Amino acid sequence: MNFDRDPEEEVFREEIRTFIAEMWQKASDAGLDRDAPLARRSVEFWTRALHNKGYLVPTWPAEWGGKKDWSAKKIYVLSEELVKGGVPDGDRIALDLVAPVIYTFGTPEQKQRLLPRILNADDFWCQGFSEPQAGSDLSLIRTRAVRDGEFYIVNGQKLWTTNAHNADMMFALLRVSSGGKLQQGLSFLLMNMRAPGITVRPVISIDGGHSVNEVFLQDVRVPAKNLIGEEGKGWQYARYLLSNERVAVAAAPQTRKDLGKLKMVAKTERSNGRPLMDDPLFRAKVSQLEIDLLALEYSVMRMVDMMATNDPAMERLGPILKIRGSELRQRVSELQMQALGERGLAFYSPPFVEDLMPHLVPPGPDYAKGVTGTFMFRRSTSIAAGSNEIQRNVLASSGLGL
Amino acid sequence: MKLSYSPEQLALQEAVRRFCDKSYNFLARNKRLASQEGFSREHWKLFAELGWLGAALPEDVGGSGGSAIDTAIIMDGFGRALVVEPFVASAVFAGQVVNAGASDEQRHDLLGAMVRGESILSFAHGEVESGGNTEYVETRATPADGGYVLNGHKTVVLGGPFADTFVVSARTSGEVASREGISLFLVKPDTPGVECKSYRLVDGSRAADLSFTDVRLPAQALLGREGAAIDAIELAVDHAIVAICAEACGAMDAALWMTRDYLKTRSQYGATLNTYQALQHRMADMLVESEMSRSMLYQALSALEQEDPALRRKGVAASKVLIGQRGQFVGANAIQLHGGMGVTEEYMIGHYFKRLVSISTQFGNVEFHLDRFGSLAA
Repeated sequence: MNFDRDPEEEVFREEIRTFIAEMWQKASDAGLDRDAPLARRSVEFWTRALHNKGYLVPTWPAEWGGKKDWSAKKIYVLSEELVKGGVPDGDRIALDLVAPVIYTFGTPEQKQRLLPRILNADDFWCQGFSEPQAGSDLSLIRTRAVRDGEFYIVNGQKLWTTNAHNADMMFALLRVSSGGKLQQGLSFLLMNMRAPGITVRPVISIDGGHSVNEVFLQDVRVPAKNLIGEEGKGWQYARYLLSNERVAVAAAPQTRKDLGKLKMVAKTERSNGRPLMDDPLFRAKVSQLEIDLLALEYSVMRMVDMMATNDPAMERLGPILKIRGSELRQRVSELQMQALGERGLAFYSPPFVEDLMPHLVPPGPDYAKGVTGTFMFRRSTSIAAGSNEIQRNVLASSGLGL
Repeated sequence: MKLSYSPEQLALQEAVRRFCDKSYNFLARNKRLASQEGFSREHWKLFAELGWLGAALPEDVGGSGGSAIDTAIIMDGFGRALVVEPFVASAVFAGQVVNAGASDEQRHDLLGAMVRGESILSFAHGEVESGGNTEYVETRATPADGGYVLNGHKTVVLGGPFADTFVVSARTSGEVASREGISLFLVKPDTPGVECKSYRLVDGSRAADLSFTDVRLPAQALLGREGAAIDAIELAVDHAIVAICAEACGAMDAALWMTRDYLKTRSQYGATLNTYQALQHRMADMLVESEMSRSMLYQALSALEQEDPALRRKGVAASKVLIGQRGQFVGANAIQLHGGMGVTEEYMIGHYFKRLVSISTQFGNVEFHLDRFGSLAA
């Protein structure tokens, strides 16, 4: 262990910042709206720019653009600077979830066909795991895939499917046989969202926004060449995928950025005749949050270090990152809402209010926009990607051997 | 930056573990605590022979030229075995303040003897009203007859009862709580006017209150420059805090796995306790906080290397807050999961709690450091 300052780190940070500034200029020249980071064009633009620069997928194998010689710290520095620079998030579902499954378990043909399209943001992906009866317990998946020659015929329903309304492809866990242990008999299948028989219906979330969906699958014909690995072994691939997901859901750089906004708001907003940040109780809450975040950030660096050396202790750290990361996502948005005081209650739902009832948009500073809606939506961070209670079960069984 | 241990660091960790396994049996420890002496001189000699007393001190004073990381490795092991020898008091707190605040000649004399195990140092700094505030020094040293006259009172002086030499902070100028005007003095316990009242802390370690009434000190008793000790004191406090944070991480880890083993053996309502989800989740939360604490320790070790003292202090304060809180959380839940056994003096688990509570309270408590963290600009 050493904390020697890496003289290259500052150079690297500067290199990233310069790159981001240049690209923002190009983005603006291309007419991309900085306030619409989720727009497809914006995601395409940034994914391609990052890939050309070698910044998109440092953790992937070298043949697909990974950087084997990058340290844990360097990878973390990159993700931190990208968030700081306001770079729109790429399709994390594709880049962090399905791609590692494809390059680890896929056939050469699948890799050649699918990975370049992910790296070029040609395909957006969604994850078809949860179903009405199968939330935390994926062994209860009922949607069936029946083999018919060179195809699987898929029938059933998926739920809570994030971004299904924008996705080109879905990776799904599907039942191919019953009997035996329920986790067995599942296959990991890739589907084209344009295939006949797929219907996507929005589920409006508690913030009034649309990010999750119901997906109905009726006699959907999926080419058999889209099966990952072996039939009936989908559970194994899904577990591998979920272990990758836990690193991403720590979301430490995002919470760091939210904390910056929280401090700005708390210094600007006044309460009882003084800046809110001068209120000792509120300042203590902000400090406590930042201290917890520091511990999370160093936990992420430990995790990336462990992944590089294949340290078995990472199995234990994964669920911990999920639990604490999701809690801090909630706490930072809760404090942002509190910082707005009673007025905060008005800033719950920009898409809903602004699009449908413009006369009901409340007066107030730009930074207040959507703060309370975000707070509402963040209740989902401790539920999605394996609820925090499930994470505790995992910690108890595989982390502690209870 | 690299977070995994080097071969040398692993060897140190292993050496500490061997010592604790072989020589630090819990029952023998308690016997020593109940003895007149209160610690083992033999262990102290061994620490010197193994080079642990100078692990983080430079080579010119006989140290190994290591860093706070080496101290942390030692303290992590000591935390697991609940070691009570005054290692932090002498080798870290006093050692660092002398190293940073004294002249080269004084450093060589004092630290050389300490590293060889010939002398036990203790740094008397905290006062009844200081509440963790490093600048708060009421004790005064007034120039007289070419030397100084010392008056004042120090409290909870760690390792005080064992020390043959005290380093005492005293004000040579300035108002109480001013950063300027604090000086360091060497004081022998048998100097006329020095009164040392020894006592036992809840964790079994020994501390003392020191009273100084018109204590006459020669000019050579002054360490370093007059009135300019605050930077050295803050550095020493930070090193001591990180050392006990490392100790807390070791104690948490040990308490956690001891509790895990207990749940697997204790049976109620026809099933061993490890099968009950309410208890499983409590243990999962203990694991979360214990790992967060370890991450925080790494953060603090990194902060100790910051050149900007404000950044260093901020990082150390963060670590004291989180590890103070979570140590007490893990310790308290370890007792809870042990049921009645947890609240017996005979069983080890409660002693982890005692130590973790002490760590949470020493060198400024959680609230003090939470406030300090917020007051230091990022």
